[in-house]
Amino acid sequence: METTGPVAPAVLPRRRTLQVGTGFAAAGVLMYFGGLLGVYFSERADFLRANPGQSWIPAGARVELTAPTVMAWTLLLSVVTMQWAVHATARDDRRHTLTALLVTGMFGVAVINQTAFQYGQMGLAIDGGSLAAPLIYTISGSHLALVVVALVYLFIMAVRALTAPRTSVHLDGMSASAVLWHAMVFVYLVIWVGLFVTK
Amino acid sequence: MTATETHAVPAEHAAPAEHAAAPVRGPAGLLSSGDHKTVGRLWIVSSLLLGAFVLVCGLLLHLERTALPGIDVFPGITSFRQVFTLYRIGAVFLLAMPLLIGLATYVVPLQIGARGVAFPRAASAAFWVWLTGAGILISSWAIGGGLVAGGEQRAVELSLLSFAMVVVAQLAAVAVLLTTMATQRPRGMSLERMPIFSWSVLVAGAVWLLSLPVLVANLAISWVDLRGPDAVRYGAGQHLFDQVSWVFEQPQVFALAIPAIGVVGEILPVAFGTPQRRWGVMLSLVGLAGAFSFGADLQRFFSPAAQTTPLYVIGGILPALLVVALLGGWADLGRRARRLPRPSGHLALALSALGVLVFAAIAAFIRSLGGAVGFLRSFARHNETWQSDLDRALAPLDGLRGTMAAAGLLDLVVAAAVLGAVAGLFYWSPKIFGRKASHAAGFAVAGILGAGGVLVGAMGLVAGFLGQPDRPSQNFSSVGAEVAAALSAVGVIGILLGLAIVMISVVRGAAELARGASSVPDPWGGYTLEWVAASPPPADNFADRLPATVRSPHPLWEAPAPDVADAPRGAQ
Repeated sequence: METTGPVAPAVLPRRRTLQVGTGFAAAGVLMYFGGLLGVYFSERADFLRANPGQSWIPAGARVELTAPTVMAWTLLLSVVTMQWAVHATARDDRRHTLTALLVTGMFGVAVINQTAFQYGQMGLAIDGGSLAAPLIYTISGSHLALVVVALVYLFIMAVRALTAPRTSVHLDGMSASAVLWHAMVFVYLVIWVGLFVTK
Repeated sequence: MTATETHAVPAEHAAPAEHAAAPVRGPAGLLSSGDHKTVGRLWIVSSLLLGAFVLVCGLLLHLERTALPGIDVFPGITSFRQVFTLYRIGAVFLLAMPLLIGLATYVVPLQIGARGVAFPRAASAAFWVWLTGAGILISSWAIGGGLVAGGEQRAVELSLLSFAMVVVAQLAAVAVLLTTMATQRPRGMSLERMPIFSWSVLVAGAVWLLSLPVLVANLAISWVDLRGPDAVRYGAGQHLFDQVSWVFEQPQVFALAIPAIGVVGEILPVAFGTPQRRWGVMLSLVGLAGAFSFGADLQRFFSPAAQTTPLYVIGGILPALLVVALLGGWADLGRRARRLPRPSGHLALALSALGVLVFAAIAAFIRSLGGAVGFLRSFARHNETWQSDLDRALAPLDGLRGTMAAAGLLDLVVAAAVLGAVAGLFYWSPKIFGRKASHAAGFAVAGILGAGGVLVGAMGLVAGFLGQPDRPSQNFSSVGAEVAAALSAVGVIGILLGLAIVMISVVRGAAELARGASSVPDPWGGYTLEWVAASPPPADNFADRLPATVRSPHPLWEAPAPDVADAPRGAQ
């Protein structure tokens, strides 16, 4: 069948493909953590209802607030530096882009380090018969994996932007990595409140 | 170009064909291709092959349930449970969903006028990860794994990880499709002007993307719990499948049927040669079906009262109402066409899928009434007379909870999804294989597969009314339910036969394609953009044949004059 209208290449070279794709991936990630936290809150509520007066965190474990709070602030600061990187990328400011990315990456590595420290400090045995332990390790471990993924994604986008003649050519990629980064930070803030502040 | 650099290249900037690199042929070409058409074909063929294996598992289960003398398929309850869980997982994640994803990966970019998918290498990687995961999944079952009690711990861990791998790979494929639809549509193709199949993939994809990560979360918790010497709760064998069973029950399972609705909605207007009226209403109905098929929040393991919540009851009753509304929309086509469409294989398959879907909606309706009993009981808790009357009247429906009725519903929806996908495969066969699929084969598959699906589903419901428990236990068969199991086995044989015919058609199509077969671009008189492309389409899909602007949901029936009602009828 013949077409009736004028014939021309119809596909528009739409931008922000990476941002949209990363947005969908981030939605999946948020739902994954939503599932984990839903199970955690449901199980904790059931436990406390069935065992009034008992602690959800098993005896002997130290789930303290200091390290998680430092991590939360670290990640909040990284939101600012991440946006700084996006802003500098859009303005073809290579020096600021590099600085902002290095600081953001450093914050990410610091969070990994602090999580490792927290694991050593908690003394929460996964085989101790506690319902809380597998859930806490699944949630915090999954977030740790997400930090690593966000760092790798950031690194790839950074290499693309910084090796291009103009960084703004890769603004879509940099913004996409920011989308994932912000989702990761948001997830941690919920974990911080749900697991550590209201433990 | 890096793996993520995937902007659509306008034709004026594209390299001339004579300068383009020659496509790699053979196994290396299959492994490395990011062409959505190649990847789509790989999904389709692999899911059909794995689906046949899964159906054989289902046949063995039903044969065991018949408890006929001389038939003792499984040596013990553990192996029965293993195959039981493999069948459930396989029916959804190795057969129905990948088949639909394969069809969508092939057709959606063509339908929306795109030259490819948004992330071609991610689409390819998703397929290979899925296939590898499926291989590991089946292998883990073979070495004593599975989501069961009494399995080998390491093998069970492998089962959990490979199941998650299979799900994540399919989610990646879905994310690629969603991104393609969000960013690669041509000028004028707003969401409400999208073809109904693409729209249905968008809706189902959104539901999967938002619900299946919760399944991955369930698997992650179980896996972590299993890492200790003794699983506390989540990794315990008897709890493993219960935690993920929500995926195989209503309302979540209905998400599988949504793309099948899209295929039916695509075929019927072309068959009648009449544009669909109330397009926005039809799209809204599909969207509503998607919204109510989200079931990640209705996990019985963590919330035992989930099946008596209003959301669950509404989610079970609504599909029946939505299907009735869709039927009304499609009946309008027949009324306006004032003639019967010419019989064709894909039309028979679409009608067969629709029939099974109607049956599934009725089954969900009946099953939800069981949940409604619990819901109504909460209103009548201060009135003992009313409560006892209610109990007496609706006891058989209330008793359906936790019975084989759930399996019957799953079988019906999977059959509808597979029939819908096969209908699409036959309808778009000129694009996929360069030749029209045999109408006789279409009629045969529509009859055999449709009847088999209805038989299996109906017998599941019957077994449910007879009190057959859904979860396998030591006494997994009861009098009467044995007859239902025997008839279910006959139904599964029917589905297997139907699938065998589809596979023969696919093999013939692939052979013709390898010999360079080609067809006219639009043999059915279709109205969506994929019919502009050559059959089979070239590497960039369209070679500048597209209209500059899309002005309606049926751009190829768009007359120069604005009156859509007088659009040319499809050449049958």
